[in-house]
This record gives sequence, structure tokens and C-alpha cells, in this order.
Amino acid sequence: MLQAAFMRSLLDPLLAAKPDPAAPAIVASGIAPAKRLSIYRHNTETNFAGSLRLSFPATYRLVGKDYFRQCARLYQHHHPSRSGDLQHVGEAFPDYLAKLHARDQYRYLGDVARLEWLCQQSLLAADHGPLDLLKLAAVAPGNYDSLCFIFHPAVRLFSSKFPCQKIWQANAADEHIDEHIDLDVAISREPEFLLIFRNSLALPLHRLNASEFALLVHFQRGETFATAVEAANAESADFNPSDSLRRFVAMRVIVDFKFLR
Amino acid sequence: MPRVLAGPVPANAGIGLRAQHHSEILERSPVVPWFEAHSENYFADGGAQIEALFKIRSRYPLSLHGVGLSLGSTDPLDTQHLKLLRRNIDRFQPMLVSEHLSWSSVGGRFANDLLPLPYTDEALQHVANRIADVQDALGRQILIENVSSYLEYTASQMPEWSFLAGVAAEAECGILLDLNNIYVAARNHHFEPLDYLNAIPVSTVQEFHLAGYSPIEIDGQEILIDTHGAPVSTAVWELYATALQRFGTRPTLIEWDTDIPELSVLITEAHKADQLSHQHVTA
Repeated sequence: MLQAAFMRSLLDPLLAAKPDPAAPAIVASGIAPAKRLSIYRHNTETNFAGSLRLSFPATYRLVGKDYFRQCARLYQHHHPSRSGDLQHVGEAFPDYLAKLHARDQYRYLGDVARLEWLCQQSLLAADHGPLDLLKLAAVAPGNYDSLCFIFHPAVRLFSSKFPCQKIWQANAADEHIDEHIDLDVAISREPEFLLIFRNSLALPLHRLNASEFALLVHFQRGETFATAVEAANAESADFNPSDSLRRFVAMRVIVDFKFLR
Repeated sequence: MPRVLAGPVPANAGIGLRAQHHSEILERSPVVPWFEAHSENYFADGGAQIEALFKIRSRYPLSLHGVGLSLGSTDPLDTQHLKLLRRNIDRFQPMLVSEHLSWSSVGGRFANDLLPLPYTDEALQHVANRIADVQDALGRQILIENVSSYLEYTASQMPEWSFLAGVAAEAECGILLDLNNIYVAARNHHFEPLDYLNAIPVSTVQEFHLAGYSPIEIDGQEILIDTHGAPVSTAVWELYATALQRFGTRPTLIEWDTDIPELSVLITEAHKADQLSHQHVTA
């Protein structure tokens, strides 16, 4: 009862009845109970917004401190933390921003935030050794079509109609670039396909063409080599499956395989 | 399993480990007796932060300090959180594991802050049972830390020090005594810090925390906030000296979590703590 009222006071200030639901449980001496509770509300909002800022640094720079704080507060109201580990609080933030700005000049914001979230996921993912090439070499050619390739846990795929990589780089913490990005021109080009994959030193974003992206998306879904190649061929007539495969094995994007049963 | 440095956490002053200091620590191997890491900051499956902590652990003693277990909550214990904590204990083999005597979640929603408990017999029994369950799940004893607080409940039946000592006795856990938190609570709720120290059994205390606070003013009244963003205050240094007389030397941590300074500033603070404990030993 006491904890429920306290939590309503901290997390539902927009809904909470006045007076503060937890105030009657608190000793009134010198400072009013509601004001004592507001210290904890401030901490709760600050910790949440601070964690969100760490996950979305470019989004933060794009919208500015005041709007980000306001946005974080509303987002926390709809999507409060569900874990003792604040690292998770940003999970629904990209979708939240996308819906909030679906029809205004910031309609790319959700995608930029989604790119940042995938980058964080890549940085936190498990480690994995490279593909056992001898094991792959032992596969009989007749079985190639039923191969299902398995990615390194830190691989993430991203596509957007907006030039998110450019927007992200222009707003990365340590390299502020003043460059005018014409959204309408950018959108008229082909969508942006990115492979996000951390290595031991950095978090490079690799540009993919439509065929490579189709190939990897199908691999990621657990579909066979044959199905994935078919999808990649449909995007471009001059797609070369063995070149692509070699490239992704060399990059350690592909670290294992199994057969479709 | 990577190599770890064996032996206990020395009864000297260590430093709270922050990610921005990882590379400096690994490049320079500064003389620091031990590090304390926030357990949740290393909950990731892999990646650079995890690799850095493995490397640091191979050279230094380590303590894992949790902020997210919500020990005092009326919700069921978060088994996923416990599982990740257990994994960190298995992979980093800390000498000490600690959490807070507070709550931070109810109904599945988390404030991610250290909220005070009402000091009642019912709450004491509840939190002691939960600590015992956590110790069973982790297969080891944990330390519980007193928190700073900015309010008191009308329902409380005993002072905080009786509650802390009672929980430790009931759960058979250790105590991490945060002297800054005692000082902040004493100023905010008008009690004598010495009454607090004298109520805590000497043998239960296995670690001290030292940190800085910031005063704010509400309704013309000063209230101290535990910001962990400033040097240790003179009054808290004095309280530390008093605690050394009662409890003897213990592993002591300089905590600094916001507006984090250069590593050298933290090392200087830690040296100050060591000077005080050295004076105590030689006195």
C-alpha cells in the first residue's frame, strides 16, 4: 500500500490526485511531505533521462537539452522502467519518437533513435569466435542450398528511407559537423541499408546494397542459403552470392551454420 | 575462465570504478588497493566493457556493488536480475558483494532510485527474509548498505540504526556502513551520528563508504542530498575517524558517481582515507 502510493507519486505526477497520494504516510516536519517526495521524483526523472541520454546521444544533440528532458519525462510516464538495470529503458523510445513526430519535420527522429538503439545492442552483445572454415569446407556441395548461416551476436541490420547514418555522424558527440542535409533529396534516393557490427575498437556502420541487405535479412530470419540468394537476386541482376558470402565470413558477421531439417 | 587476482579486499581505500577511467587504469596500472564496480553496469553479455573489467580484475581486487535489486520491495524478487548478478559473481569473482537497504520498485515499475523503508517490525522481517533468499541464490553472504534519506514515515517504530542492526542479525548478512549517508540522514532527520555508530555491532561491518553530498534549500530549510558528486566533507572525514576508533580499519571506498573527476582526484581522496586509518593503527 505504502509502496504503491509512493510509486504513484513518483511516476504518475501527470495523473496523480492532489494532494500527493504518499504524503499522509510521511512525517511533516519543517519541509512539507509533498516537497520531500519531489526530491525523489526529481532523482527518478533525472536517472531515467540520464540513462536515455547515454543510449541516444545523437538524438539528444538533435533535439536539444530542454526538449529531450521534456520528451524523456512523457516517455517515462508511458513506458516506466521495468528493470533494476536502467540500460533497458530506451527500448520503446525509437517507436515512441516515430509516432510523436510521424507527420512533422522531425519524422526522421524515430529512425535515428532506432539506429542508436541498435548500436547500443551491438556494443552489449555476447562475444563469439570466427567461423570454423574447415567445418564449412567439409560441407558437400549438394547440401549448400539447405545451409542456414548464423550471425555473430553483435550483428544488427538497419534500413531507413532517411539518411540516418549522415545525421547520426553529424551529431555524434565528438565530431559536430555543420552540414545541410536535404531530406527531400535524400528520400528520393534508394533507402539506406546498414550493417551494424562492433569490433574490439569501434562501432563501424557498413553500407550495404539492396541485394546484400536482402541476403542478410533472410539469413537473420533463419532461412536457407538458397532462399536468401533468391531474394538477393531479385534486388539486382548482377548479385554475386559467393563474393558476398566470402566478405561476410571474412568480416566475422557469419560465425556458424546449421542445416535446415 | 580468465585469471583473477586472489586474496581478500585489503583494509585500505579503494575507488569506485567508472567506464571513463577503464583505459587509463589499463594503460597505467595506477597503485589503487582495490576497485568497486556497480554490478548492473556490467550486466552485458559481452563487448568492450566486459573485456575491460576482466582485465582490471586480473590485476586488482574487486567488489561488486548493486543498485537495482530492490531488496525492500513487496514485489517478488526479480529472478532475471539475480541470474545476471550471479553470472557476474561467477565470471568476475569479487571478494565482496553488496546491495542497499532500500526499495526501488513495485507493481513491476522501477524508480531506479534508493527509496527508504519504513522502520517497522514487519518491514524488518520482510527485507531480512529477502536478503536470506538472495544469499541462498548467490551462494554467498552479501553486505547491505544504509542509504541517505530525505523523509521519514509516520509508520516507523524504531530508529534506522536499530532497523539496520536487526536486519543484519536476522538475515545473517554483513553491513556496508556508508558514513556520508549516516551524516546526511543525521542532518536531515536531526539525530546524533554517534548514536548510529554505537548501535551497529562491530563484527557485522565489513566495508565503509565515503562520498560527498550537496545541500539544497526547500521552504527555507536546508536538506542534504547524497549526490556522490563532490569531495568528502570535513564532517564526514571526522565521522570516519570516529568509526575507525569503534570498528577498526576496514576496506573503504571513495564513491564519486556524478560529475566524475580525473582518476588522480579519486586517488588523492583515497590517500586521505588511508592516512586517517594509518593514524588510527599507529595511535
